[in-house]
Amino acid sequence: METSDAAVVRRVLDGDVEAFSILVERYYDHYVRFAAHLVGNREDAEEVVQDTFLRAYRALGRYEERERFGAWMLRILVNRARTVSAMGRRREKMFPEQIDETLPEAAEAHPAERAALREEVTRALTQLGPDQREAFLLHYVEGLSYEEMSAVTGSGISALKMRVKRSCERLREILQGVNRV
Amino acid sequence: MSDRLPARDPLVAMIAELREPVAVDPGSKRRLMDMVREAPPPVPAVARAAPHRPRSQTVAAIRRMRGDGPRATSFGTFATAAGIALLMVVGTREPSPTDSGAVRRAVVIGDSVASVASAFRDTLRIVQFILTAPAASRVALAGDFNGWDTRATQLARANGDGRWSVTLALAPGRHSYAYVVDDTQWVRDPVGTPAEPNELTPPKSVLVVEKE
Repeated sequence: METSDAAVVRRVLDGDVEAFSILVERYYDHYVRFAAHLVGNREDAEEVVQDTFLRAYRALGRYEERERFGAWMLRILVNRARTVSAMGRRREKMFPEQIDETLPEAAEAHPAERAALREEVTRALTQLGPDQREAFLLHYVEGLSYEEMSAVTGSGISALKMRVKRSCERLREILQGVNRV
Repeated sequence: MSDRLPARDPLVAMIAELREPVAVDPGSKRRLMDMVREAPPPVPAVARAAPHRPRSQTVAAIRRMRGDGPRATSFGTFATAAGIALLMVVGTREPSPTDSGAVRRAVVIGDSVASVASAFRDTLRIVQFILTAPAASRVALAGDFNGWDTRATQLARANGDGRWSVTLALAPGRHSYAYVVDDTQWVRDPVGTPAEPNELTPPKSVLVVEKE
């Protein structure tokens, strides 16, 4: 049985609700990671991702196969993350103990160094503005082209390039400042 | 594709860290699928291709209906309000033990077009028909909307729970229908309104699709 995203969407639209779980398994973990970096904590991230999947399910009839399903979902997710961030319901950020439970420990050769890196990365990211953080993550972590980012965010390509450039400059300042201490 | 960074750039280690997988609450996907099963089914694109009024005409009509006049200038605000108002449910009684394992529901779940405003008065409505028949091999829906053709509208089986469903775009009005199980057994909808008995026709049910 064909299991491409488009084929799964067609099955769901034909009444096979359970087929939607294929898409959940395929994208859920990845989106939680992205949303956690975007909104700053895993609790909000899971809420954003759940809401994203529910909205995507309801709107599945509007999905057009010429667009990558992952990019279509990402557009919904980014909008939800913006809303949650703007609401600022949970102000606490990812403190080191939360990061410890967020990331797997089994593969860590040097847990203390790894934990320090996580803390440094998280704090650097939270010092960016929302637009810059979103652009940086989409481009460098999710690997989207500027054209894809424009489709996901609704922003122009030149504005996105500027956000990425400034976010890189700011992050280098933060990281190098930390390393000098 | 993202721009390549020099290997010694401090961002390289940061990006690698950000790409590490995160641990996810193991029950979260199950809870999500529970919510998906409870949610109204998505509206197929084919149904959204139904004819609709031009937007400007519809908005004008709505203003008249609501008596808002020129002040009602927010199309988005209207669409949201109308979307809530247009949702309705017909015959959603939970199955009783006397239903002998066959639960049939016809549910009007929304409008047939993407623009809620365009569906205000006289467009099609989306109706979902659900039959729980675990032992069935095939289930069809026959009614006046498909010329009582027992092969025209097949229900799709959902995995595991014995439910069969199909979603149709129906014009507002009174419709007669029945399920046809395994090509031979005509089944009336016990939770819908039964049609008047007629010795010459199979048992039927009646569904009234409201305009709004």
